[in-house]
Amino acid sequence: MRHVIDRHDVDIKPLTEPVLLILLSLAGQPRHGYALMKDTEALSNGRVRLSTGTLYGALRRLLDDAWIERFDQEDTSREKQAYRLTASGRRQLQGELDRMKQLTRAAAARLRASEA
Amino acid sequence: MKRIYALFLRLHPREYRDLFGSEVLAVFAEAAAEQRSRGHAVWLWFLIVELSAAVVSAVRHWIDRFSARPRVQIAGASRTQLFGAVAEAQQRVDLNLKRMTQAIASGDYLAARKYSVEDLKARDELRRLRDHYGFDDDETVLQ
Repeated sequence: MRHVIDRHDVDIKPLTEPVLLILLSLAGQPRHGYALMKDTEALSNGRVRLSTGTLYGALRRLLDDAWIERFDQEDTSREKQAYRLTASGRRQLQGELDRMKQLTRAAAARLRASEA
Repeated sequence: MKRIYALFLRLHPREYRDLFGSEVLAVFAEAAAEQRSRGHAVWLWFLIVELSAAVVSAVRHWIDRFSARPRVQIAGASRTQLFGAVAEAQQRVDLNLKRMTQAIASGDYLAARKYSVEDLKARDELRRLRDHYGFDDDETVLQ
């Protein structure tokens, strides 16, 4: 089978769980810090609760990589700075989801083979 | 409690505090108010986690800050190291420009000013390396 590698695949990096949850949260809509904290907790069924330090450490690195960007919402103060996903961040998220799907398929196939 | 957390925030590099300080404190205060209403045990656990995470965060930011500095001594560097150093300097210039554009686009002029200062330093470093080793301005450096 011919394997085609898209040019963009070269830059796709595996994501840590907090980063994955933050990107997933922002994929739905832009959010500010506390909303992100609550949504990532909900996304993980309460399993992951990001501390303020962890959240902003991850946000800083995501800003550095330009995977997310800050933007001003008209109805919020500076203390409620909102963040949204960039095209690059969306590509990284899609790449990670594809990687996870592929891994899940491979794992399911292995389990089926061992049960047969 | 917000005041105690603000003290922990002071452990972080100045750039981090300038960029996120007020936001971090506001988010901490909001989360603290919610956790406090859940009882003493939850409140205590929340404080332990938050304060220890603040210390870890400060350490990580200082490590990131120092590791972002040039790691190659120019004198006596091999050609491979030299190309790596110039490529790194070029990357820093590109990254700063990207950050600055983003900050301006989002109206965050405080951050834009900070990146502008970093941009000047990064460009000086790149120019110094290029001059020292005779790279043309248009020459592309690949790692």
